[in-house]
Amino acid sequence: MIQFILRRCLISIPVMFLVATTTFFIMRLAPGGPFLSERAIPPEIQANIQAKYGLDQPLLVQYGKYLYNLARFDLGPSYKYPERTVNEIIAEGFPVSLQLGLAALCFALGVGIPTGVLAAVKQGRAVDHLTMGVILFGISVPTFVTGPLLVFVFSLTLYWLPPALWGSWDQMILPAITLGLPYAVYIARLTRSQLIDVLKQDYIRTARAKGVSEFRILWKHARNSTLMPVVSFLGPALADLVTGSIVVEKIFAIPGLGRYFVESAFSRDYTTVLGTVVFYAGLLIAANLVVDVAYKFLDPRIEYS
Amino acid sequence: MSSLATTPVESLPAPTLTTSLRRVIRRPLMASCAAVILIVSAASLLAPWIAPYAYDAIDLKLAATAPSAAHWFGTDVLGRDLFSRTLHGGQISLAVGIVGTLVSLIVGVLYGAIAGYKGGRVDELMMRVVDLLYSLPYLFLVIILLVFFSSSILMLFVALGLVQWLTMARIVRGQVLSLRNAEFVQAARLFGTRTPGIIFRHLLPNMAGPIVVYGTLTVPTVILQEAFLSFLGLGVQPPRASWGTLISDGAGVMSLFPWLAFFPAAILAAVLFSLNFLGDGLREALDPRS
Repeated sequence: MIQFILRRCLISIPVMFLVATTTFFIMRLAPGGPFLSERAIPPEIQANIQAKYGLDQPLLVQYGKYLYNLARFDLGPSYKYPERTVNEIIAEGFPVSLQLGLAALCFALGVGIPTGVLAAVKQGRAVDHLTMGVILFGISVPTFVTGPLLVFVFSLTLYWLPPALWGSWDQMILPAITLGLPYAVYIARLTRSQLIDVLKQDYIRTARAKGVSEFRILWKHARNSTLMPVVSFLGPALADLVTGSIVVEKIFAIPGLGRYFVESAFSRDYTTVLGTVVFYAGLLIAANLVVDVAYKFLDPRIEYS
Repeated sequence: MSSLATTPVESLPAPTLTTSLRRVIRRPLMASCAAVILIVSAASLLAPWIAPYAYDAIDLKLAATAPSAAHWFGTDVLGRDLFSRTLHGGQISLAVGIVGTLVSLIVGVLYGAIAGYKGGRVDELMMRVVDLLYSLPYLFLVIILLVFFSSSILMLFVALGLVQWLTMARIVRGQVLSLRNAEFVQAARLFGTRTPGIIFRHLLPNMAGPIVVYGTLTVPTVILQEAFLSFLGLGVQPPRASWGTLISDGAGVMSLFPWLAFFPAAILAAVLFSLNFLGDGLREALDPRS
């Protein structure tokens, strides 16, 4: 087990290197730069700014320096916000995105799993058809439609919840639902189909024959094997959650990392873009490792070599 | 070769693509989903001829009028006819969905087939790469590509297709692994057929089912992602529109002119719903266990 974790950590180093390299060269090979503004700047000042950030050096030298700093977890200064480093920007924006992501995940799991179980237990009945219809519909409506729609209904019509910004708990509800809904829907679908399969197994029939109550069968006997596909879905879902968060942060004017990322991409803030991508890549690799370990606890039969 | 002896005798052949297609279409709900897709695609394809107005004809006197007999879906804030814009937008959204899916099909099928057929260390290495890519924030790279190199439609096609090929590669590899030692493949090998011939002539036709099913499910995903990028201002540039840009423009003024977001969103949702539903139905019909 420990060996497995160590090996995964070792593999992730070249991956991070690859991510940093790809992103670095994609950005640098593209035309434009962070200090090319509409306003005409005297060439001497332009040259000075370039020199200050080392942009006048050969590309490979810059690349080497970047990697060296990256290895020391120094992501460099932001080109857009001159007084701040990328580390500071991440430290400021990421907790907000993390809160949003966790709230969305809680919503997705808390709504998705019970719905899926309900649909599976009532398989083929009206409840099942209804939930499956809602589920397919939920997959088909994009986040940037549900978001404004929720704001329209709950903020602008009913005045129940604030329409935007971030800070208090009631400001978290609408964004979390908006971001979590597609996952809730997908998790419900996964749970349903897996539980239907599990309930057909011989050991469940044996439990029923022994007179075990339906609730106990679900909770004690079917639980772990039902949750397995949900857990393995969470790995890739986290990557999606991160990108989905960009849109939700934009809709609700939330000062999270996703918004910084898009803004910095538009203003060619090389270091902030690179730093965010590398940071998220590391985060997702770590999250996937956690998912794989959790998987092992749910199914002890899995061997990691 | 010991695998000759252990190849299981197929007792119940899996239904072929055509029979399961027929089986799916016969169900009324599925048929109506197919009808929705056909009608919307046909209308979008014929947009230059059937759209009542030009998609970029601005008439400020008509700015943001509610749906009427002259303008079925109403007009947007610049007085452009929303119905015409939705039809033209459908062209772009559907084209992105289809081309993106094709790109992902080509890359994914080739990659998966090679990995599965070569097997051994090659397979392990190639699949490990897929595992790693799976865990990366891919859309970030797409955003970077689109921002830094001008966001042309061609770039959009390629970038979106390149995000989607991973699952396809996994599916195809699994299929190839289960087929590579089948008798007809061994026979082909004995005749001296080369690897590309075996993959394209013998293996791929036998995997058409899962590939088509997954393709059907990829189209809505790609359409959604185009909409996502459009929402961030990275997709199609004005005055052209896709469903994504129409919805995102409409969503901004939803409390004032709700129809601007409603109509494109409803059509997008209907098409995505139909595609997802059809894909699911096809998958069930192809599964011999059901």
